[in-house]
Amino acid sequence: MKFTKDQMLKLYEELVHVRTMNDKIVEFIFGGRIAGAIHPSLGQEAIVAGLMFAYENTPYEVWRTGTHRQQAAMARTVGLDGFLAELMNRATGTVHGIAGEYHLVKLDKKLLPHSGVLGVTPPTATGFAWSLKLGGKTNAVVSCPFGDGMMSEGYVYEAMNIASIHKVPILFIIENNGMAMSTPLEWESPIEDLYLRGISAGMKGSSIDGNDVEAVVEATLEGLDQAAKYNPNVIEMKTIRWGGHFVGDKQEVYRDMSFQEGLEKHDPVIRYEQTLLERGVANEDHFAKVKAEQRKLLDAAFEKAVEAPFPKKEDFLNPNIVYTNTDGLPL
Amino acid sequence: MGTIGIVVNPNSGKDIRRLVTHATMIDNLEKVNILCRIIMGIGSLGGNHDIYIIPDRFRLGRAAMRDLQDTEEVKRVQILDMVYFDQQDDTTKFTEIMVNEKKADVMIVMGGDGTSRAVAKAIGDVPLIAVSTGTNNVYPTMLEGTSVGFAAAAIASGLLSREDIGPRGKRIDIQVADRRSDIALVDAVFSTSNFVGARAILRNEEMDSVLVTQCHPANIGFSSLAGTIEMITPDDDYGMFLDLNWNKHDYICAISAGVMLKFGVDEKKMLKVGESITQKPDYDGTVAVDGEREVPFRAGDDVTLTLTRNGPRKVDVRKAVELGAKRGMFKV
Repeated sequence: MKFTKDQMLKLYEELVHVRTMNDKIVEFIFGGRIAGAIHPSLGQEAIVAGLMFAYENTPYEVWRTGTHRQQAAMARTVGLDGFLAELMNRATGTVHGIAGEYHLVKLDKKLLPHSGVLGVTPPTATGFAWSLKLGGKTNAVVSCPFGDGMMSEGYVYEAMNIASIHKVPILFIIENNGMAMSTPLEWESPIEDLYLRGISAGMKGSSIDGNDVEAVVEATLEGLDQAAKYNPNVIEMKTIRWGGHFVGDKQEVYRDMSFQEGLEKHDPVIRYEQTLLERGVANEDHFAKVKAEQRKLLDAAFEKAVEAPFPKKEDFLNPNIVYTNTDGLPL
Repeated sequence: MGTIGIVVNPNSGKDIRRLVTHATMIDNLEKVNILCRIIMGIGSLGGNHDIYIIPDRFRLGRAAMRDLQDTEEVKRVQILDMVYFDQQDDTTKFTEIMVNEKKADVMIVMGGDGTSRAVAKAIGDVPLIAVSTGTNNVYPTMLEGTSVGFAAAAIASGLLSREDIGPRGKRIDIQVADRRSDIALVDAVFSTSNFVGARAILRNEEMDSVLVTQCHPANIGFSSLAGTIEMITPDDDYGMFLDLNWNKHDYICAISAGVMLKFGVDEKKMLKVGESITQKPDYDGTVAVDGEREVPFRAGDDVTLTLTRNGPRKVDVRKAVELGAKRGMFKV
């Protein structure tokens, strides 16, 4: 496998895009312009950017679920304007501003439901992947990313078990940032390599550096390829959560903050900049240009979203918006 | 009383080769078990050796100390106080501290070829016991932890001299233009893959040429590939360079666990210790060292590989325990 120069530059742009979106979310929350608890992926951009890139560069049809830390990936799937409007509960949002980011579903864009209830997403994603197989659909897979906290939920084992028994075309991605809300991994699991839970269900699995965007792309492409061959598999991507569980969460109350020492060594953006410099692919001027472009793009997109109207009261009571039938169509 | 340093790599044995092959899996729980057996092996023979374990994000050393908390043996064990970043450099830095400041008599390394390589960068003349917890390794071997502890204790207590252990091993010194240098212990492969990423080499078309310090057809990986043509032992004062041709199917080798490849060779060249070979690839690529893409180069770079005897003084555990026994190590 090789990355072309254009692909490397695109990957860098994706990383900066994710980082900038994270920064904008923080800015808008502290500016009082977004209500609610939002969980940006600060420090975990390599996983989000890597998945976005892999989904667009695999030969397979990738149905995917989102997570509370994959705003940029969900936005890429459903469209930036619709996603941001949904994030801010505006009527121009993907589902009319009544769902918020957590409950975003867009089947015509291959975004499957993901639940705010911990552990529920893998079973539904597995069921959907199974239906792809039973329906005779080939070259179609499901990618199901989730966090380390979810690995402590029994549903997830059951989903992996079913996926393995029935050879379901699914890739489970464990985004292990070492913190489940306020609980460090070592307090919730005696096993720190969470991919082993998938191995115990009879799947193939591996663990990679989740702060290396090219490693994320490479592993995800392999995982999707295996899933398409009806070899369900699990990839653990190890990373570090920089902030609290949500913006405004005072993590210093419950977290050993020594993780912040030398954090720049793990910064996915800085690491990739160093890689591109070493390869002679880009220079500091290019990095500054990309950052300015992304800032401009997302400044405008966030302003556009926040200026949109709120949904009407009737929308929240409209079953054709609030609920969906099995085909994802209005009732 | 001697000093023993122990590296346990929490990241070995779990790369993406496990998605596409039948590669060995050693999880971190098993690494803790092996570590416990090593500590018990060292401590059971007395000697009051100081044992330092590398710190890591997953606290494998602490896990072993917790499991052994009721034993006498654990009292002389400590996790070295050092800043670490959960990266390969931690291993080299730990080795530097152990060798230069703590004056270690012997280093024990649990990991794959890459972990031994990281230690080899700083170990100098200090004996090395390499325990395989990686992916189908060539340099480290699968060893019983208790016996490893015995061998380390024999060295730390002075029962075995460095001459008893044998000469320093071979090493490939790699120089990329004037920008970057690195080393390999077993093999250095010119890979057309132009990024490090998940490190493992999975496809034959990624391999251009290879230099090996040792090779045997019963190994796995590039050492197996070269070993199907000619066998070279760690003691031989030469290595072999092969320019590979994937359009030829003259040989078959085990390139990964359970994965065979047919290949041919355009050029074979034997290199004596002290000799170099310089390549000027016309593509952006990486030199994979001991099985992992690690050292990037650009098209047109001069990439020089030099075969040296600057490798670690590697301990044959079985032989060390035998010598120790003959010299009274097991007498109570």
